[in-house]
Amino acid sequence: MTILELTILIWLGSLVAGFLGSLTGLGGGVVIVPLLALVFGVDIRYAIGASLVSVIATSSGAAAAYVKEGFSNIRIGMFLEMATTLGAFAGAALAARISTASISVIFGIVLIYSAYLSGRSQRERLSDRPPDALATRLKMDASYPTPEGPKTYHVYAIPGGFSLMFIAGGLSGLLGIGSGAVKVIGMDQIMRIPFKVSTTTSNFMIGVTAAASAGIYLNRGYIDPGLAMPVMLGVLVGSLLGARILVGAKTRLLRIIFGGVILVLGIEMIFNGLTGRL
Amino acid sequence: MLHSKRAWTDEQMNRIISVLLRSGVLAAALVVLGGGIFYLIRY
Repeated sequence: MTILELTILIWLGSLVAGFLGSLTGLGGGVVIVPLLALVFGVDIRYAIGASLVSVIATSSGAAAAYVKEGFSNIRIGMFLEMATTLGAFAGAALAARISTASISVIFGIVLIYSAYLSGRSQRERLSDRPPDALATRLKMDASYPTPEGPKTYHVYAIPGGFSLMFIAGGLSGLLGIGSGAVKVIGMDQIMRIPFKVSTTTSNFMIGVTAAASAGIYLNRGYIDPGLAMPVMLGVLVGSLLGARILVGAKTRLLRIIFGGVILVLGIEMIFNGLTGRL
Repeated sequence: MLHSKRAWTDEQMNRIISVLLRSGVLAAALVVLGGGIFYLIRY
């Protein structure tokens, strides 16, 4: 296979990954790394490096719209980025010290958990508790647009959410994914931020977290421009297409199918990691 | 002495960040595309 043919194949695979990742809200990173490692036989650390570059691009591209529309809460995002960035540094540093088999097994576990999350229903959970003193001090309480007009919300349990963000950042640095699922759990279920604000703020944070990890991967030589180029362009175009179609698409069935695919990939990653095939 | 203390509102800040993000992604994508074409022609 020539370099041009391989580049086109990786670009097409990344396009599909970005498209499905955008439609299902799981992001392209969870598919790109197994795709490169299992299908194209790329070393998992180089696959993670290429995935991180694509995660930065897609996160920034999508966040631009969400921030402008007022869904993302920049104050919360920037505050929690301190934890995710530190976690990302720790995760990326750890990735160079542990074996590719261990990374593969951890990746598989995260994929299985993501598959489980993709099948769950999403609902708004606004709390009627009095405002949190720390959140008020940090001016985190805000509002977000709804068809009925702006809806105000309060933010709670900041230390708990901050701690979970460190883990989310660690997973991002270790596995080259956005780890948006963990970030959303932290904001939606622990900090009681409305689901829409949680997902869009998580989207905004993912790029910053990935940029921190990518710096370390770049420094260690794990970002190969020839591999990162088709992956970044493919995932970016795919996610933009997915975001356009998302408005009118019925994503419930798609999420279940995609969840099934991720489950199979997760099992395969664990199996290959345990049997030393990666 | 006059001080112009025009604090930015959250909406203005959101708009600025949004424009910066969009321009950054567009510039990065163009650089990667240009570099990629150059790389493929060369190899």
